[in-house]
Amino acid sequence: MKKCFMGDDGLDERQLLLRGNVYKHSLIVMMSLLLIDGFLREEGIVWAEGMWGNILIFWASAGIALVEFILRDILPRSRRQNSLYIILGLCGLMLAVMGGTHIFIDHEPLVENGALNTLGAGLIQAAVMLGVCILFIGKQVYDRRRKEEE
Amino acid sequence: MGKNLKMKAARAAKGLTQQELADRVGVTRQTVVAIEKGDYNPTVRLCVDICRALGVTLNELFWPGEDEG
Repeated sequence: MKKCFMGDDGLDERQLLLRGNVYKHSLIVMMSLLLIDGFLREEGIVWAEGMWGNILIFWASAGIALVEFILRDILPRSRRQNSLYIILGLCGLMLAVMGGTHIFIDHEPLVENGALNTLGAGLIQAAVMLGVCILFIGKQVYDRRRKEEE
Repeated sequence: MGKNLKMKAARAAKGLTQQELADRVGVTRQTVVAIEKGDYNPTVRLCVDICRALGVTLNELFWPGEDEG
């Protein structure tokens, strides 16, 4: 029987359809946040120092896409691709530990002159990465239980 | 779109789990779950593959009964 899997990444037809919607949501979020950021900068309000504003906007839209991928089961069946979520989580954990060290040992602030500094923005980035990884692991456990219950 | 109870019944009659049916037609288990729950409308190609795997016709599985509209 001919398999219904399409694409190089082993997603089936339902997943490919949903993936398109997820990319659309992510793009809309990114465009909206960039517009808001632009307006704020025009008004002289800087909420994150340097390039961190744009980096956090990227992580917000990427985070939404990754969360949707996990919750709507748009995960490829190959373990290699799914291990990216674990690597993301490990990077997040490393960033969080480094940030925590700066906060609790060096007593560095997260906000300077009303704007997030590198430490604050880095911790938000770490939280997104860790959150995505924890959600991925939780979903795997949930799916396994459902499969056993069936 | 309502639940596809006919597909669930045909699968159970064949003694297949959702995962086994999914493997036979080459989709994920979640896609089979979505079709049975009526959350996803499969393409004709996938419908045909499911019918072949379950040994039934398209009409038996996917044609709505009079009470379904």
